[in-house]
Amino acid sequence: MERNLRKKVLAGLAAALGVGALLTRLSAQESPSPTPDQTAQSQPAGAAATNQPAEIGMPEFVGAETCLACHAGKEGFKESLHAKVLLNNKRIEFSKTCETCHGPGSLHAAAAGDRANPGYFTIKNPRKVKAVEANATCLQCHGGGKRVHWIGGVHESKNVTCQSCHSIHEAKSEAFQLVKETQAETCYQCHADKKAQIRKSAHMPLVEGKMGCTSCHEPHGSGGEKLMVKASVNDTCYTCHADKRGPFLWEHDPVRESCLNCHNPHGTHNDKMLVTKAPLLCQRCHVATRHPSTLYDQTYANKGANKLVNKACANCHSLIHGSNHPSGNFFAR
Amino acid sequence: MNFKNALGSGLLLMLASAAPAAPTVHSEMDLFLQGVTYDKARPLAYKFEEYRSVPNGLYVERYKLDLGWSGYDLTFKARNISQRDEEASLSGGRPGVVSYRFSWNRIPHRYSNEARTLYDNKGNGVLTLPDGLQNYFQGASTTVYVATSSGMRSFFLADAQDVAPLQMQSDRAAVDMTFRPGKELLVSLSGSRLHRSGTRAQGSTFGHSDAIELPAPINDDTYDASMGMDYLGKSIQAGVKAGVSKFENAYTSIVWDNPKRLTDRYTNTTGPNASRGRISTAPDNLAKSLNASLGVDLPMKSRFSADAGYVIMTQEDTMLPYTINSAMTAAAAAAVSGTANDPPFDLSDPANLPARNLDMEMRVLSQKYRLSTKGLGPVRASAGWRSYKLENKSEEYAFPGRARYDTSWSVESLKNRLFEFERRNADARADVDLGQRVAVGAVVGREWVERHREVEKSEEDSASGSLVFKPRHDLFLSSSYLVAERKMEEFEIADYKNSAGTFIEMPGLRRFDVTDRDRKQGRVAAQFAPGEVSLGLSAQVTNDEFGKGKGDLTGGITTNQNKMYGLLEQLNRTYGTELSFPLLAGLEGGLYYEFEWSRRMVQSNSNATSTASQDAATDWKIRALERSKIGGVSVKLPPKGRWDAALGYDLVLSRLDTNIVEQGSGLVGYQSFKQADRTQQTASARIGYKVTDNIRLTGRYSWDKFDITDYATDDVPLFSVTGVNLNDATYLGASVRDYVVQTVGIGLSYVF
Repeated sequence: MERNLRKKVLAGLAAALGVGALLTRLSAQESPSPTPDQTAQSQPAGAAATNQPAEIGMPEFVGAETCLACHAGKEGFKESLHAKVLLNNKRIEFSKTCETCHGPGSLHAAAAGDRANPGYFTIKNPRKVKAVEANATCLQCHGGGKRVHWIGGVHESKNVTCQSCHSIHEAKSEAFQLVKETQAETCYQCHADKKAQIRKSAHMPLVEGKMGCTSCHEPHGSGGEKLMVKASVNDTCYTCHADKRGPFLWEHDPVRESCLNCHNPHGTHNDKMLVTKAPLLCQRCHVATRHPSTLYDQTYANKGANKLVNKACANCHSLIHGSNHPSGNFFAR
Repeated sequence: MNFKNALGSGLLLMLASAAPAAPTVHSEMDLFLQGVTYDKARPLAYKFEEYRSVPNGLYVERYKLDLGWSGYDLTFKARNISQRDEEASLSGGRPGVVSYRFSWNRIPHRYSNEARTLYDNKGNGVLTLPDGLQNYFQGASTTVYVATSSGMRSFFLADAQDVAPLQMQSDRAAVDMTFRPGKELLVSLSGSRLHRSGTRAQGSTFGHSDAIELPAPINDDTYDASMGMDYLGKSIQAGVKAGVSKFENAYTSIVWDNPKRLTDRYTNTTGPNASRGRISTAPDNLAKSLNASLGVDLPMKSRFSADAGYVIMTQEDTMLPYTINSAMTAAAAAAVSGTANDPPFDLSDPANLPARNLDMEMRVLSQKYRLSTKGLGPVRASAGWRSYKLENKSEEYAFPGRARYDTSWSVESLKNRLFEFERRNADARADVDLGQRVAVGAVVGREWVERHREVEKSEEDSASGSLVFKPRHDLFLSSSYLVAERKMEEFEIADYKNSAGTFIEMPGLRRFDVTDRDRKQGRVAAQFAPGEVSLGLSAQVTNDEFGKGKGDLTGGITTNQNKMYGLLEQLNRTYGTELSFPLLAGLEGGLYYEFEWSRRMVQSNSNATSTASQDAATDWKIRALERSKIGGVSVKLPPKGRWDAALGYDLVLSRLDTNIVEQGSGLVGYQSFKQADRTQQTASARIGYKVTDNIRLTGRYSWDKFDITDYATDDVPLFSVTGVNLNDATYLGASVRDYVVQTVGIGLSYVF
């Protein structure tokens, strides 16, 4: 079994690398020659300022008023939270904010929109550089706190950029300067399957706007699994469901190991967001004889059998998350 | 803390931090006059307002006030004022220096509009029935009352009154503050109170028969507080955070009258002996946590990050007596029979418990370390280690038996098992940019789990590869494939035996969450966005097969079946698409659709008499097929002149087929389940007109329709029909109902 796995892994990796190499070759053949922007803009702002060809010269800071002469639409940045923080925390006046992130703009401004002028491409546009470089600009100030685990995290490794989720110049959301109106819409850009799942009849109050993806997940990276805000799935669930935390006198082992054994918090069509309907839910494990493994069928349903209709097994075993009663080892007390 | 306190505190803080300059003021309000009509034939549906309030009449949907002066901000926001889902916040400070936020969030959770019961809540979690009713049934029958007369059951429910809607309300008040005492230091403080109150349906029982659903009261609080400090250096960042969380439940138990008996009695058999039952509730508990994190930039564009947390969870509730049935005493038993299962002492006396208070404690140590580098040319690589160890330090109690459903004593040597586990993960990943258009990645990992269960050790190896291809600036393709194998090292058959050495479950069992598992998972996604059109396609397939692994399925007893039982296979497929495109006259169109398909196979044995030696004639296998289609279309007219408008339609449809695919020769006449369907549709229209710069009018309409056909929940009876294995259950009749609701509203938005 293990040997097979190794073979599969090696074969898979070889295939992926082979396909990658082939696609690289194809794309190299099909791609046009690198344009000046691909050359110059792959450098960070600081580097752009020092690695210019001699004939271009070194760009210098020109101030926001010069920028706004052409980019009038960005004037709203002055009132943004971002601009206020730069002023209060970094002592960076508004006139210097544009070039703090985009690099000195004298040559770009002098080009006056002429893309044939190499100076035009000396400005740094985070949307057109590699994700690592774009993010490095933001991480100069935002490296700590919740971003401690960003580098090496799953989002960073998939080339997600800060701009993928955040609108830097002006807020499109009520909080966090997101690129969409809501947190969920922002996440759905990539996690489209969750957009569908959360609409199922049993769901968290996310569609109703009473919670967000970050109620459970920390998209900037976390110390836990699945980018959870806590160290585990269960610890995250306990933040709202502290009644399930216990510890109980009688523990239900799979419940303590992972809530996901029975629930899908992104939404299901089964009440309580159960992954499947009871009693089949419980019969995935409980195949002891007598009532746990009885073949309950439609004829039982027709008569309202208490092991099948309504809450099924939980009609009696209602403390399935754990019991505190000396006679509750079967979670019925 | 309630919202008024939060508001008051916030205003004080605001005044304290206010600068003398005159503030800028900006405020907005959305006022709506709304009408809601339910289909008269289907008025009982609760799901339309499950987590929200859709008011009929005039209400303030949104109010916002912004104040700003000399670098200070203050914002007050409120939504759905005075509704069951109202929320409000007051936030402000000096951006980047100090911030505070007081918030209030009320979340309703409605369970039913039609629950019916005769129980009366007397407070303290005690649910009572009229004495006359109990006395009537006690006199009429000492066995199962419904078995003798279904008319009695009808009588029992004849006077049942509608209870107030079964619903819970969560009110959370929170305060969050941050401030920077130095350029590289950030201090954060937060506190919250979550209060939950209401009534929910709770199962209870006096035996394998006699399930009685109760309108159980809810009244609990969760208090959280935390304090953290972060150092935000250029190349080193570190943080430490301490927190405490306390859960308090107003009810230590739920007590309910037995409709079959008015007075307690003892017999040496199960049956309606107790006049009342008592079930425990979620106990008060306390969790204290400490967390530390570290990030360090290293040479060669490398970085090390770490996170460690320690949590202590404790619970010291008073131990409830074995039963509330005061007649279950040694003296009463001696007078009746003198059998082995007679109570050895007064079971309702707390003095006979092994302890008066529980002493339960769990400790969690979590650690995560990751080393990553971008200093290897086009390769981005990282390696990580994560562990989660839950130790159970609870007291172990020995019980000489248990009071079964408050009706009889069962002599058993019971101990609370101290479940604990440890999960460790290691992984290494590399992502390589092959030029500007292609990136490949690979991840290999291993997980080790040790636990105090029937499978004490297991390992899972996994490997995945990914490919990202961007042949054009407007086309993005990505794919990944994962294989994983979980193997159990040990299988402890003894866990399936009781204290007498008899198997209580079949050795052939392998629980799906611990057993051997082969997982294969593939994903493909594409995004094409030429100009104003954007098209996304995605597909994902996950296949889990569960195997038997090491160990003898018969447990060494040749008469036992050599078969796997439980969940054998689980296959999920998901296909989705999303499209946005321009339409005529400046209209924007959008469409999304997802199809999900899942299959589960469960095998078991319906032998009613033997615990270990199964007969092939009573084997059965069920296949559950679930298909979901979720989609929507929308048309939007962005602001054009004074007008803007939007139309939308969403459809969520699911179908569950639960079929018996194999049954032994001894199982005759069994029927597969009727198809279970749930369909939800929403059509909406909105039109807006800007009258002046300050005034805007909005008209909106929505049509919501929900249809359900579900053999278990769409028409829950008030009581079940009797018969073998059918029992005499009493329910609240809290069914999931169809609904058709139309909502029309006209709104006035005013900018002050």
